Amino acid sequence: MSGSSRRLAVAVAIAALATAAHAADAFVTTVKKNFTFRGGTIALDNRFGDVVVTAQSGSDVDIRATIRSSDASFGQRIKVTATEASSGIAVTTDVPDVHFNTGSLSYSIDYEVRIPASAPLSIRNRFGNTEVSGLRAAGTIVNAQGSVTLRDVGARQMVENSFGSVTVTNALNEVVVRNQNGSVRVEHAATVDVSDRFGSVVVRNIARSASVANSNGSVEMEDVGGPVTITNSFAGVKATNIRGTLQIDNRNGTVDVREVTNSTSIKSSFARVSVSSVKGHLSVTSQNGGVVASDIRGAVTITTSFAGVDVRDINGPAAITNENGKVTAMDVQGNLNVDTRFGAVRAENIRGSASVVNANGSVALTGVQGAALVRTSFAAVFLKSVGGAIEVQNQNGSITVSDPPASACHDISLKTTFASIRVALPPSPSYRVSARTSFGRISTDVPIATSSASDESLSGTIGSGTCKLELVNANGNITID
Amino acid sequence: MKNDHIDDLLLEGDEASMRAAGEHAAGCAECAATLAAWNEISGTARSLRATWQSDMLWPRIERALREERRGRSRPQFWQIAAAIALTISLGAGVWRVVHVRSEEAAFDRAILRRSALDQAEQAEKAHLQAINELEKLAEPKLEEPESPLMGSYKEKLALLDDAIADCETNIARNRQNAHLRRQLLAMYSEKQKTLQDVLREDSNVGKQ
Repeated sequence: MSGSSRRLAVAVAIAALATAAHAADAFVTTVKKNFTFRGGTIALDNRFGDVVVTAQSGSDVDIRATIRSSDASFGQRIKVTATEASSGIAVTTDVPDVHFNTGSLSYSIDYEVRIPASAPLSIRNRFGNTEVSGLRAAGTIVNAQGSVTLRDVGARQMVENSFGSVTVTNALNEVVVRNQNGSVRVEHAATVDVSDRFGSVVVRNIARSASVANSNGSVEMEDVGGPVTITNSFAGVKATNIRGTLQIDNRNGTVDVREVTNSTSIKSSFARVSVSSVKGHLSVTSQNGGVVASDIRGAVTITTSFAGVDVRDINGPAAITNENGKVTAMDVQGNLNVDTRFGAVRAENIRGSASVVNANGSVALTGVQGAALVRTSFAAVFLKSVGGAIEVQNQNGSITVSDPPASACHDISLKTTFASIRVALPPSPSYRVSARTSFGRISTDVPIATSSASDESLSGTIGSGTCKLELVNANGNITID
Repeated sequence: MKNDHIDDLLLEGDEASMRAAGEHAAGCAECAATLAAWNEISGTARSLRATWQSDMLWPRIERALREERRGRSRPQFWQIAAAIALTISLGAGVWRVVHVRSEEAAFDRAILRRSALDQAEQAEKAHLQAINELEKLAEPKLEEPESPLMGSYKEKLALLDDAIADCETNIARNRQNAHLRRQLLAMYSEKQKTLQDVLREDSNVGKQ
């Protein structure tokens, strides 16, 4: 016998041994069935095993089921039945009822099915993975504990799952996913409607609308061509590049929004909200969570508590309501309205007017082109370069006003108690001065034509006396520079 | 130089070159010796040439060569055929081995073998032990949740328990099914992580 022949004999022997060894403890059989699809729905029912469905051209339906069992006699009793009726083709898996199995009796049935792309599909599976690709008709997949994957699908697709991931890629129509405790990922679809619990959700590249309702799992939304609605709790939400309106309702989870071409509305609690580059209006209603917003083209309305608010580069007006939190506003093109308690307010470069109502928190406004109205207590007020009228009512906190416009004066009214008032007037000022205090002094470096003067009150005119300068204090000094 | 010249003429070998070589050798002793040696070798070579007068000799040689070639080609064909057969057989054998191995791997992915089952059951036991310990610690927090987050954890744990029970019921009837075992391990792992999260939540939860 030559060397080659000997090698061949060895190979054949190995194959035979492998087959024998395999056959000794494993039962494997394949069941094939073929149909011609004439209408209706192709329905497949499985419990233990994977289902792979691939769409093909033509009207052939090719079913291939691989039955595996640790016991040959049991495996032989597992039946795959396929029937054709006016309602379509139904494939069912019949497993003998096993009530008491303390041995090693085990089995699984895997399906590989080729169906016409235009055939509606319905799959029910329980403990196995399900995969569908190329389907152009509507599909319904109900799985329980296993992953579900859909690729290159056409019409409306409905997926239900419990404990397993759901992945949908390239869907030309609506995708509806209902999952529990499993991650969901949808990429490239027309519209998406996802509800999940305790699993992360990622939705990307959606042509029209997207809606996600989740809880206890993060939500990530990116590149959506239409309106977006996201509801979540106890986990973060991220939305980027949304070309429609955006609505987010998240409790106990952070919200991070970037690049929205339309109005954005956010409800949140107990976590930080961060928003940037919104071309429409922005509305944030939060509790116990900080809010950061920048580059907003429309109006901004923010309500929160027990945390800071920071807004920058706002093209419209900004209205901020906070409780027990500081507020910072920079570069606001419209009016600024702030209502807060127990937090410092700082604003710079406000094109419109600024109205700040605070308590137990300082207020510092710089570069306000319009009027400034400030109410606070137990903290200082600093106003610099305010272009319009100024009205400040403080209690137990100082007031400092500097650099009002030199070109045209506006009325100034400053009232406080138990702290000082200091006003630094521009060159060539023109005010009618009325200043009074108690238990304090009034001092000035500016020449005033006084009509009446005492230690605690002063009336007179600075320049031609065009505007009103009213300074009222109690238990504090008044200084005019 | 002179030697080179006569060498060139001798290599040319035609009548004119040989005549020029003779003329050149007349004035060069060394070249004359070279020419003499060349002529001697040429004479010896000419004396070795033989001729055959029979017209049938060459056809006979050709026939003999053809027969020899034919005789040699017959065993070559069988060798090729045998090699092809051997290759096919080997290929089929290898394919069979690969197929069987692949089917065995597919079987193992679907149905656990005894050793893999033992490992899975050991891992499940370890998870259960950890879960039992964690459950004892987390129980006071979960009995009456003080915050929505705790309520949510409680709900998640209830959901996990239902799914675990469903999985275990099916494992009782399909013990070595690999998917069921993987699923059960994943859910045990998830439950363990959730209980750890419950315990990690400290007094911050109370504020929510």
